[in-house]
Amino acid sequence: MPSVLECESLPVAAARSGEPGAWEALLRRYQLPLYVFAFELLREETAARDVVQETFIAATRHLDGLREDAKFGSWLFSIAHQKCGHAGRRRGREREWLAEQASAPEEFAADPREDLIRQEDEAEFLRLLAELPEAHRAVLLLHYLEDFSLAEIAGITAAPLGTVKSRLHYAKQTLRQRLLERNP
Amino acid sequence: MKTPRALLLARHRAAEPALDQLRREVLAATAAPSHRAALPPTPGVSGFGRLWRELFLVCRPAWAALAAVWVVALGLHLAAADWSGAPAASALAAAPAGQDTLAVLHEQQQFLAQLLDLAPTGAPALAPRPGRRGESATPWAVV
Repeated sequence: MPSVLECESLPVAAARSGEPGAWEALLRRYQLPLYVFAFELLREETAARDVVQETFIAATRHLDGLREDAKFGSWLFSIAHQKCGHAGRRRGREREWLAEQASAPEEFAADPREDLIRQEDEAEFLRLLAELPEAHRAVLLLHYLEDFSLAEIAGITAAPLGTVKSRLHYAKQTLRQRLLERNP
Repeated sequence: MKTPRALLLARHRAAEPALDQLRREVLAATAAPSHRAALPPTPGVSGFGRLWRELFLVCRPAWAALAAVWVVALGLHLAAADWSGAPAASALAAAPAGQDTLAVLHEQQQFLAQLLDLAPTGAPALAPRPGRRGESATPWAVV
């Protein structure tokens, strides 16, 4: 099974040179994943759409600041993550930060495609995802939606690599345990 | 069985028409000649905040490097000040004491007076020392 981005060639260079068709393709490619990411963090449609819009505007303004075209996706998500933080603060929500585990075991399923969800578990999975602490949810969404590496997620969320590893492990373990408790 | 990605995207598929519209709006604003002015301002960011972001945050590494250079320059300057301070201190210690300086100054003054064909002045006249408060003349009289 191909990875999320394995076969993808993004027209970033063309967008940099101002081709409208390239921008169209880039923004179309990322609009839904960005919206899902923002919605699952903020739990509000309007706020999520605002985040997508602000992210697109920032991207069109500041593409020159992107050094490596291959990192366009993680760059875009890092903008969206910042915008989500601003939106969360604007709405007066307190960020939920759970005490991090001291150390994260290395052996967790690194490939999001291995986490298949049965049809009868879908609703429960989405409900449990929404219950996760915000920081853990963000890491898990980035892992699931775009299959970003741990280093990329660390860059997007501006968190240390060990913290990201710990959050991903904790989030996956929690989801798995609760799904198992529901369907032993 | 679905992957979490497929499940999440399917759940929000209904938002796509609104996202298409949003994308078209952004691209239309970007394509306009003065798109920078036409784009809506980023909410929650003041003019100063935008200026700060555009001037400072964009080239953070350059500013950090510049700050590092300044710190190094300051350190070198301080170190150089320490080295040049040592000879200055020894020169100060080697300088004549206060009495000697006065004597030399007096000699020079006499020599200058001779050169200008003036009478030797001797010791410079000192200003009268103010007397004690009780010794001073009473500026008033009791009538």
